[in-house]
Amino acid sequence: MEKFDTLSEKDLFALRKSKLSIEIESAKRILQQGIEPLGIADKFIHNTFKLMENSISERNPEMHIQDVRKIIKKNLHLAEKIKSLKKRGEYSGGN
Amino acid sequence: MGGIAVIHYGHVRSTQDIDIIIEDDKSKLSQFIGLLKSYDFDVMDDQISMAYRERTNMSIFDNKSYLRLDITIANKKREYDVLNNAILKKILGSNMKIAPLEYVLIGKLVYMGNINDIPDSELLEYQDILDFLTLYHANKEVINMPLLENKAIDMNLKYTLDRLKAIKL
Repeated sequence: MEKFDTLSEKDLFALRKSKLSIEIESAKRILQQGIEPLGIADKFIHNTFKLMENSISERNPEMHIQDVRKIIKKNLHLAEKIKSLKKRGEYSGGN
Repeated sequence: MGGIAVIHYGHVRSTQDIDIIIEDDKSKLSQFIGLLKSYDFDVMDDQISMAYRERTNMSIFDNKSYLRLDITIANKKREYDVLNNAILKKILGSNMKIAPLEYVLIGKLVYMGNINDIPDSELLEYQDILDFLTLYHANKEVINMPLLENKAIDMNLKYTLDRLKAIKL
């Protein structure tokens, strides 16, 4: 059976570099349209919440919208908790 | 493995791109590209031909929104593995095939590779690690752990998985 290929450090570096240049090109393209950066951020944030609300509702069709929003809040709290570990450099496990 | 799947499974973060893996079929790709053109996507034919020839990713911008499509033509076993196991979901009113949660998590491990030499102080600097940890902890009760572990073993990523799992919140 064919084995799964793994990405070498060199491959990963090349991938990240290429992704970054696409992100820069993409950002330039958006800014060239003369749209306010805050307007863009607002749109991205709005789309994120809309997508998440929709996904949770699809998975739990019987769930009330207020409960869907509680899950979003819980997930936000979790993401913040992980980011705060990064800020404080405090976590157990790993090396 | 992109932002859309990550948000779908519960990580609140923004994304500018929709990552798409498509099978290596030139006629289907042409059909898809034609469809994108008809919906006002900024398709550059030369770029598409070159990316297809060289099996590199292609980025296509949407003229009507801030989003872009990052398209990969499947040519590796792990890409076909995701395609063959994709599940149909309704996302914002449209039926889409997306990677199951465990495959999204594995994708994050693949793009981190072997994290042996990344010190603790740098580990959480990587977006893929933040994505992995958030999705893992948000969905702990529903993750098919044997599937995740076996895939990690198959891909020589068991150490990476174990190290990330060991991070206590």
